[in-house]
Amino acid sequence: MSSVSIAARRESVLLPLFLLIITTIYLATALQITPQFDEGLVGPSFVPVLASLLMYLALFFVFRDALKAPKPALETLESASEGEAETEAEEKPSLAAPIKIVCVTGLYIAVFKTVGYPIATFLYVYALLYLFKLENARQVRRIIYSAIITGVFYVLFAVIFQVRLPLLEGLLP
Amino acid sequence: MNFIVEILGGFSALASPEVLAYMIVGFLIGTFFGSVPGLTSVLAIALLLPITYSLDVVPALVMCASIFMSGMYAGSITATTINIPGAPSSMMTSIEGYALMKKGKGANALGHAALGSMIGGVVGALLLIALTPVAAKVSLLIQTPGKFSLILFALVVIVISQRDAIAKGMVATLLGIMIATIGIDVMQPIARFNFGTETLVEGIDMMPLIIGTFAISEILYQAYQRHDPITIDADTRNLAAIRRRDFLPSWHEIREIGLFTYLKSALIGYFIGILPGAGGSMAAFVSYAEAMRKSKKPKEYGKGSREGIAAAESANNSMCGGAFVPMLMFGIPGDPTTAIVLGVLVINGLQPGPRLLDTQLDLIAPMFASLLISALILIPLTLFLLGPYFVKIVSIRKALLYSCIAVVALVGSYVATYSPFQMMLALVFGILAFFLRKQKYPTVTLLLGFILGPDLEQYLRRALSLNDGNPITFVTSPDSLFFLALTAIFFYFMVIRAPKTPKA
Repeated sequence: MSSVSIAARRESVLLPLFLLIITTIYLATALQITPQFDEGLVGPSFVPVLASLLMYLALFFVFRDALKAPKPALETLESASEGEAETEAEEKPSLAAPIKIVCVTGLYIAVFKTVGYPIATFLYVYALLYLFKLENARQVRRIIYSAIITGVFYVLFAVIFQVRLPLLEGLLP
Repeated sequence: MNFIVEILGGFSALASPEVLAYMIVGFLIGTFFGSVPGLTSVLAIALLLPITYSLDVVPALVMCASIFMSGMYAGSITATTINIPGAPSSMMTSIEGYALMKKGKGANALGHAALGSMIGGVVGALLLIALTPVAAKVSLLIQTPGKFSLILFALVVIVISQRDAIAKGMVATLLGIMIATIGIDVMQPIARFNFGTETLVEGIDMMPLIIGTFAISEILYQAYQRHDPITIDADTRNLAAIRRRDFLPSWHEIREIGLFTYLKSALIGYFIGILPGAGGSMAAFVSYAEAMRKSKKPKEYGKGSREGIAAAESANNSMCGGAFVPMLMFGIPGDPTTAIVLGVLVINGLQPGPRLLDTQLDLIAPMFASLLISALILIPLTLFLLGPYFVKIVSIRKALLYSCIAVVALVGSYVATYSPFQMMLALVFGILAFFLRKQKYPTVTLLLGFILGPDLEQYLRRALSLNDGNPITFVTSPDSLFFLALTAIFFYFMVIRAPKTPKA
């Protein structure tokens, strides 16, 4: 089996596995809920327990479908030339960019209140434009675009909708 | 009589310059988001949601309605010009529209799409206005066990509509229900699943879930896919050079399609819109198939049939009116857009249900009017004024677009509570939705499970508590039995006797 198909199959099992763990934690927590007054069977933990059991059932079908998925034919794999493989590698979707965006976004959220909207947003937009490969050769344009986007949305939120956005709150005395 | 006066009042509310401006801006936003492949009107309304905190309820709802209508229509623009449907509901239009485009009749195809959308949208809005009071009276007859069975019916239909991914649909729906159980219990004053943190005691707000599921996940998904920029060929570029009158369909062509086709497709679209989870794609597909079945020229289908465009576009725009009925009367959204509109209602303190018409019709009527005016006036007007520039929409650089979306989504999340915690939640839900989308789990069902979960739990527990825990009440109550029977019928025809998908 090619590395691509192995990775695809692994991914199709990893997510339900993650959900299985989450459901188990959820069910364990649901069973520990203590009602304030007795409602019989249908207390505060009734629907969470029911939802967990149904989730197990649904995940069983998802696992079954993932494991039953047809394996790619051997000759198809062998016929793929090296050139095709290279092209595929170039165009193949990659998790690298989403991971970088998540990191940058997490950082933006972390400093948003401290650094303030203008600086945090300017840097965030700049980073996104870089990650989305906008005019990578032209730094100045990217800086200008970042400033414009930051300014436009400042006007939209702070001026038009009169929302109080943080402005260097954490840095000013 | 009072109802008619209030509806007319809704139209007069649109005469206010502020409300009118919001309707037009909403329409243009919807047109833009609907026509750019990868962006949808759902995303547009999701981004609007935080802004509604700073808006009055009337402009917010008017804007939502015009975004919904224009987004549904605008999917036909790129479907016709570059063979990439701007919205999934324009899949059928792309088959016929692009075929006409290749014959040099792209403007004519866009004209027919706009006319079909206009007629469908108007019929849908009129039916919504006419049938909402009837739906309100019917909803008063439904008691607690019936309400549970109705929500169960909605959730089952939403899940089984996923066709090839029913198990995944069920997982996503249950995940939504589970997320909705976080916070204070629906019947008792105790916190559940807060894991000792105070921030989770109040539960998960709808807004970070919507922003995360539809905006953040979209940005991550686009980054993941690494799409090449869309290239526009010379023929398509020539669309900018055509005269505006080329957009007008000829009287002969309209007569050939026939008023009956428009009306029948609009009715199909409207009633499919009422079904939970069905949406514009199913409306367009069913009416397209029906138009082809009854067509005098079935061989034209697939090669540029104007009738096919008219049927598909009439149906998907008429669906907009239908989707509002269950949302307004039962709090059950027919599709993701109305699910977010429901969020706008809830944020503004409006509770869906029959009493909405008695007490707050003055706030809802302008939204009905906006749907009608958007379809009747703004669709043809937009085509006439902006039609030659439609092609240029797809040339906008995605990097700029997604950076703007990210800022609106995150700052919008902050705006709701002035807390970065909401932004972080939006990011967490965005990551979750990204992986769900990547593995082809329907994220729409996650949202609908989240919205319907609390009501489902409340009515289930209330009905059982009133009957000493005896579930027989769901069968002995006629309204409940009706919805359970309906669920069984839908399950039978959509799952057990579902038409087999031909294998390649």
